[in-house]
Parts: sequence; C-alpha cells; structure tokens
Amino acid sequence: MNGIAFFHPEFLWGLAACAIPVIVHLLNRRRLRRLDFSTLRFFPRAAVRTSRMRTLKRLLLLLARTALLAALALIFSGPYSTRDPFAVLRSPEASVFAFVDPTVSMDYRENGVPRWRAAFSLLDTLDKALPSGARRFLYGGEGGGFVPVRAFETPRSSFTRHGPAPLREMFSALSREAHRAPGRPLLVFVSDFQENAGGGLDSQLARCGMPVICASVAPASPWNRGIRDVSASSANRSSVTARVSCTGKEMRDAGVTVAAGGLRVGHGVANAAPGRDAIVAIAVTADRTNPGLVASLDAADPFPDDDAFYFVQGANEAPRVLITGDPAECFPVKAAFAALGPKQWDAVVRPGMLVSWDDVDSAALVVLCGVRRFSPPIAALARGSSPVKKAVIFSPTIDSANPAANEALLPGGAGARLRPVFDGRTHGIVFPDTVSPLFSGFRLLRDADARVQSYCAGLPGTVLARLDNGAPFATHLVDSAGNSWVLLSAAIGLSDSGAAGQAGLFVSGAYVPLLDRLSRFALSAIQKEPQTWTAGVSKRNPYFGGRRGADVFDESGRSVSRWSSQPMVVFDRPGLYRVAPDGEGPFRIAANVDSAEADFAFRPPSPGPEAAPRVAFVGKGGFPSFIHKRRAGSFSGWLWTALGIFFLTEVLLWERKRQEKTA
Amino acid sequence: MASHISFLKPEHLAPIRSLQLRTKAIVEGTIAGLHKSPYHGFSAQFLEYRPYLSGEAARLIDWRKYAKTGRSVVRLYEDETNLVAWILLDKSGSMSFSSAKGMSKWEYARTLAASLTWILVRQRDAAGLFAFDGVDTLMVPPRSTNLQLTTILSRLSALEPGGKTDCGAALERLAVGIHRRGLCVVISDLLDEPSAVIRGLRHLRFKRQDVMVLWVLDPLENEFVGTGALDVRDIETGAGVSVDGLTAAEFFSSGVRRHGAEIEAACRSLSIGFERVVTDEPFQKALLRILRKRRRMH
Repeated sequence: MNGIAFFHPEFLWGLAACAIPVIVHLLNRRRLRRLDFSTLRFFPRAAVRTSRMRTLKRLLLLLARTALLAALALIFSGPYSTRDPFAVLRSPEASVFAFVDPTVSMDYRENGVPRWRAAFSLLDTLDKALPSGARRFLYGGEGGGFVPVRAFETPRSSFTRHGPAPLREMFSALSREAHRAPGRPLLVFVSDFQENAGGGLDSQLARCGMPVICASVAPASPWNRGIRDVSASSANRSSVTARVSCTGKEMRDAGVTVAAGGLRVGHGVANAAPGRDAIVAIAVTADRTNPGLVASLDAADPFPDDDAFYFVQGANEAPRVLITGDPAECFPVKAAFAALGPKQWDAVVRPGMLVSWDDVDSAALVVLCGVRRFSPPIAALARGSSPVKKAVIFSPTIDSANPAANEALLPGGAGARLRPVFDGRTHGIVFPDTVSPLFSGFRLLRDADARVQSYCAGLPGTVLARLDNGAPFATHLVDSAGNSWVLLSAAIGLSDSGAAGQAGLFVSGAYVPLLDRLSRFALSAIQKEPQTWTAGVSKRNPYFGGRRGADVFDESGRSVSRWSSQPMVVFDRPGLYRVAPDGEGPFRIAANVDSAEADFAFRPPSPGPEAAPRVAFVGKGGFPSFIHKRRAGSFSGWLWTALGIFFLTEVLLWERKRQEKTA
Repeated sequence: MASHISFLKPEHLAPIRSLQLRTKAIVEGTIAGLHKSPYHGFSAQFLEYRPYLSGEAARLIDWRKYAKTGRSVVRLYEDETNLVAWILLDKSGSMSFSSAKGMSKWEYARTLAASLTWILVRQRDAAGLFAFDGVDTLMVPPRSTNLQLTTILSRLSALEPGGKTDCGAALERLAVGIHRRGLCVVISDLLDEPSAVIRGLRHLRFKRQDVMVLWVLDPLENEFVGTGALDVRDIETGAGVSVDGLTAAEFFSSGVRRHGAEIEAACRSLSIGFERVVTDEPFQKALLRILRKRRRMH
C-alpha cells in the first residue's frame, strides 16, 4: 500500500459486506426451467439476444452492488495518500499553527466585515473540522509567539497594527514551537496577501518545510483610491487643486485634507464614480504655498482603523529651502530663490537661533548664510546626527570676530582650517568649463561683475569653481551622515564686510543662476525623501537631546504618548495628531498610512516548485471545501463519484427488476 | 352417452338453454326454422305483392286485391328456414397447451363446440363439425336431427389434439366444399400465419357464410408471466429456445397482441365476428357473453 493509508481502518471490515450480494446471487441463481409451450412464433432471435443482454445486466447489477458496498466501506475508512501533506487535518495528532495577518490592511471592511474577522471565521471553520485531539496554536505577536489555544476564537476588537507583517518572527517562532509540539505540524496562514505584505513570504514558505495552507481573505472589491496630483496655483496661492482618482468602490463625500509641514491647512470633499477622477479645489488657510501632504478622509470608509489616507504628492516638487542666518543678511538669498518662482523653490528665512527641528525636517535644502549663532537643530545637522539627509549650502562668516561659528558648522571640524583672506583685491570667479551641467551656459557670465573681495581659504571637498587666483570658490563634500554640502568660500548674502555688495556678486547676472545651480547640485547628491510621518515607522524624536518634551494627542484629544528623552518615536496608527511642546503652542502632525499598505494589490504566494506541493493557496470561498476534502480523505471525490455511478447503475437495473416482478 | 358428453355438463348448459343462436345473414335451410330464408314461403309474415304470371295456379291470386284494383297480383309471404351451421374446430397440437390454471385450450374449445352444437340442434338447425389440423380433418356433415348431436358429441369425445397448425388451409378446404349459405363458427387458437388465416376467412365469406371466430387462448398466452430462465419448447414441433422470463413476457405479449390485432382488423373489414376467449373465464360466462353480443348485433 505504497502511499495509501486509512484514517479509520476498522471500517475496512465493511469490505466483507461485499460478499452479501454474491451470496444472495448464488442463492437466487435460477436454473433453466423447461416450459412446453404452444408456439415459438413470438420468440424471435431478438428475444434470445435480449435475454442474453439481460443476463449480462444482471451480472452488472451484481458487480455494481458489490462495488457499491466496497465504496461505502472505503469511504467510511477514509483512505488518503500518505504523500498528501494536508492529510494531517484528519489526524488527531495534528498540531495546527494559525497565523492571522496583523497588518492594518486586514482592517479593510467588505460588507461591513473586517478582513481579520473573516480570517477568524475561516479559522472557526477549521476549528470545527479538526479532530478533537488536534492541538491548536495561535500566533499572539512577536513577543508571545505561538500560544496554545483550545479553539480559534475571534477577538473582540481589532488586533491589527501598522507596519509589515512579522513574518520572520512568526516563522522563527513556528520552527521553535513545531519542534517542541508533539504530532504533525501544519501552518494555516490567513492573510489578504497584499503584494507588499508578501515580501519575504515566499522564501519563508520555501524554507519552513511543513505543510502550509495559505487562506486568502482578500476582498473581492477592494476600496482603493488615491490622489494623483496636487498643484497650487501661482495666481492664487491660497488654493490647492487635487486630482483624486477612484478605483474599486464608489467614492462618496471623501474628505481631502491638505497638510503642510505637519499641519492641516485645508479640507475639501470629493465624490467620484469607480474608475473616474475628481478634481477638488481646496482653500488653504496658511501662507504655505507648498502643501506637503494631502489626506483623504471618508465617513463611509471601509478601512476605518486607518481612516485617513495620506499621500505625499507632487506638490513637493518645489523643495523647501531653509535659509538661516541674519534675516537682513539673508535677504538677497531669499530674493534669489523667490525670483526663480514658487514652483521651483519654497524658501523661508529663519534666524539662526530660531530654527526648529520641524524647520530642519521639512527643509530639503538648508542655506547657512553667515550663521554666527545657531540653534541645536543646526548644530545637529552640522554634526551629521540628522536622521534625514539634507543638502546644505554653506556660506562662511568672513569676519574674523567669530571664527568659532565656521568651525562648529563645517562637518568633520573642517571649519578650523578656514582662513579669511583680505588681500585688498577683488577676485573673479573662474568656472572650470562650459560643458558640465553645473555651470553650463555660464561662459557669458565670466566677467568682472562676478567678483569677490574677501574669501576663506582652506575649503575642504571637491572643487567646483575657483577664484581667478586659484583659491577654491565652491567645493562639494558629503559628510558621514550623507548630507550633501556645497561650501562657498565667499559670503553670498549681505555681510558686514560687504564682500558681496562690493564685489557685486548678488547684483551680477550670475548670482541667481549660481545659487540655483549650486542648490540643485547639492540636492542631486542626496536622495530626497519627503518629510512625512508614516504610522508604524520610527522617526527621530524632535525633542531628543533637549530639555523640553511634548505631549502627543490624537484627534479626539486622547493622550497618545509623550515625547521626551527617547531618541526615536513612532505613531502606531495613521491620523492627525496634535503635538503640544512644553511651553509652546501646539501643532499638528499627519501620520500617513504606508502608501504601499494603502495600495491594494494582491498576490498569492509562490514559494517555488519544490515547496509548492506542501503549500496550498485557497481563496476565502474555497477554504471550507478544501478543509472538507482533506478531512474526507484524498480519494473521497473519486469514491463518492464511484458510489454515485454504482448507485445509479443499481437504480436503473433495479427499476428493470421491479418491472420484472410486476410482470 | 354420459361419457360422450362429459364435457357438456348440465350446469354449463343451464344458463344458455334459453338462448337461440341466430344468424344475421339469410341462411338456407332444409326445414322451416327461425331464420330468414331467401325463398318465399308460407309463414304468416306478409312480404310483398307481385304481378300474377300466366301459367301459375289461379289460387295464388289475391282476389281481394283484384276486387279493389282490378289487377291480378300474387301475395308473397316470408319464408322461414333452419340454419346450416359448421363448427370448425382446431385440433392441432398447440390446442393441447394448458398452463395448469384451468382447462386446456382443447377441452375448452371442444366444450364450446359441443355447446354450440347443442344449441343449434335444439333450435332445429343443422349442425356439422369440421375438426382440422395441418394434416388430418374430420368432417360430420350438417344435420338437424337429434341424432346429429349424439354423433357430434361422440366424435368430439374421440378426438385428440395433435399435428401442426394449418388453420388457413383447413378453412379453405372447407370453403371449397360449401355451396349453401350458412354459419361457420371457427374455434381455434389461430397460431398460424395471419395472412393464411385471413385468406381462409375471406374464402368463407366469399361463399356467403356468416363467420364467427372464437380465438381461444390460454391465460398464459393471454398474459405471459415468466420468471427465471426458461427453456421454451414448442409442443407441436419440439423445437426449443432459451430465454429469460422477462424477455419472454415482453416478446410474447407484444407478439400475441400484434397477431390478434391483425386478424381482428381483417375480421372487422370482412364483417366477421371476432371474440377472444380465455380459458380461465368460466365457460358458460364466455358463451353467454358471445351470444348476447351477437344478439345485440342482429
């Protein structure tokens, strides 16, 4: 019996019942009886043929009855292939490990039922199908691992959390528990199998070495929508236009919230049919012309536990530029960025001591323009402790009165080597070539207007441009934190020495394009990341290292956490949060849904050909039948079919028999 | 005598004693009887007038009519005659079959023939017997005497069934020898080719005979019931065939039904009375049914 075993071999004794029809047939075997009759006129050859056929049918009836009894006995005995890894479902020695995907997408509601509840409904089906002796284990989180349970009971409330599925933790816990637990292990992996959530699942399934039932609770009609683009009109900066696309279900009264710099600055309502776009014009209340985030809220949201969809949109095409230093001194820099247009740069000026963590976080480019005194965020940036890479343009303090500022600002202590040079002459800027993208088209600007009177010698980094005396004018370096620094040897603002003014750098035609090119060069050297909070993703605590802390409240006013001395903080769930720093006015932060998690794209696991036989992927509707088939045995379908055929044969032939008796 | 009429018991005859066999057609008889004759005779039933023909006896003239009309006419009366009836009895081997549920077909048919003879003789009709099989025939010419009943009964007692069925040829043989109108009662199981039987019946009708066919069937032939495997043997030829009971029932029932229907249809077209008689039906009841039906027809 290679490959075949029985769940209830005692029922094989039922095969003895096959002898009953044979015995009855032998007992009732009719011998040939002679009948002297008046005529054979009405018995043609066809009658003889029919008679033979009837004899054959009688034998078939005997065979059908015998086979029917045999099939019944086999069905009750439950044959299964020993090569079927899922036959364990009928084994009392089974150890069933159940894992329900805890990612937030499992909160998606279809017909009012969240996916995680549907997942436990499937487990309930499995629970009822398992033999009484089977052991059940339910994954209870990274810390708890698999917990023995008496039944797979549905939790009273959602247990989902943001972030990726803890696959690695689960599989390592599974390997531990499977070795520890007696019996034959089986993993039931219930998930919606979102494509992003499945990362690493295939390899884990291929490695785990035990039978796995991947039960999908993916919604049939996912609610899915997004914001395609956001633009702020240059003519009307107090308005933002968002194109909201709707796929999946109809979008009704979906709220679209505009948030900038972590603050909610506007709100609108969008309605769209499936597959259509809706254009929403939203009035923004702040003077921010560069909204960083757009959030969509929907009262009928089937995804209530992350009932906000936040998207970092194309409005961020205009990078935020933080110009810090003396505001008066920084004026020409701000004016230069403003001259390039709001769609090119979003420049703000902050005095050095007033630069906040949020200012630094929200800025893509930081221009240190003759900074003499600076706040901790600037210091952290200079130290390379900023968690987000920044592009920095450093313009030194030329005066010798405060050389420590340069020393503290340049990375790696390179500022100590800066040496102010006052030689009484003005020096022109020599651009190295006219072919590179950096200074392409600057040949015509190589004139006496672009000159500096004083500068700092000893600039570190790769030289981008030099003065006519050979001293570096602009260099580039990347510090240990990955920040991209463009270092200038001369002041680009209004300095006390009046270098720029005297040299006419900022009044020359080269000033605005020079700043633009250098800024873009600095930005191109780093991977620009949107300054967003994503629920489940840790970020540096803005108050880390400071004396102050902040209380964080959710939208309903409930205290969520307090940020104080912990280096990293995280928002568990997406939404709008109010951050109230000690001694300062509160501000709001929008925590996004992971855009990958919010995008419904489902993909069944494909663990490879070797693991495929022991990994079954079944849909929500197919799960009960899968369990039922495995419970009934591998050959159940064939046996029931055979039983049906035999029964049909029996009925047909029995009908003839009945007619014969009637006759 | 008692042995001769053992098959004709008084209890069989009692219900039919009051019956008289009548024939629809005009039969030619030798003595005055109950049946219409084609000849004008001396009964009290006035028929018609005809002109007096010269040379006839003057006593035939209806003088009263002459006195009224001045024309010499002869008054005609219906003549009444007795019936010449032939009892055609099949004595082939198949008639000896009995399924043990009652009388054999032969006994039943012989009793039927004797009963009819008794009725005919009792009403002073001439009754004759023509017993036939494929080879042999026995003919007792019709007589209306009381002795004729004894003769026929004694002959019937002596007969034994045997031989092959050749009903059609036998009917034709008799038809050839009949010259006078009369009644022919065919008592047979008709297990012959339907075309031959019909040809014989047609011949009898051609000879202006009022024909009545009594198809005698055994209950098993009327409705075949078979179980198990059967080795069916023909009692006339000894040939055999092995069939199961169900198949035998199917084929025999349908075959008998077709056979009877074909002959009955032909009889209907030839104005021949056709009656199916099953031997499990009480004899007197069957005879009563046949005669009553015939009386309704005429």
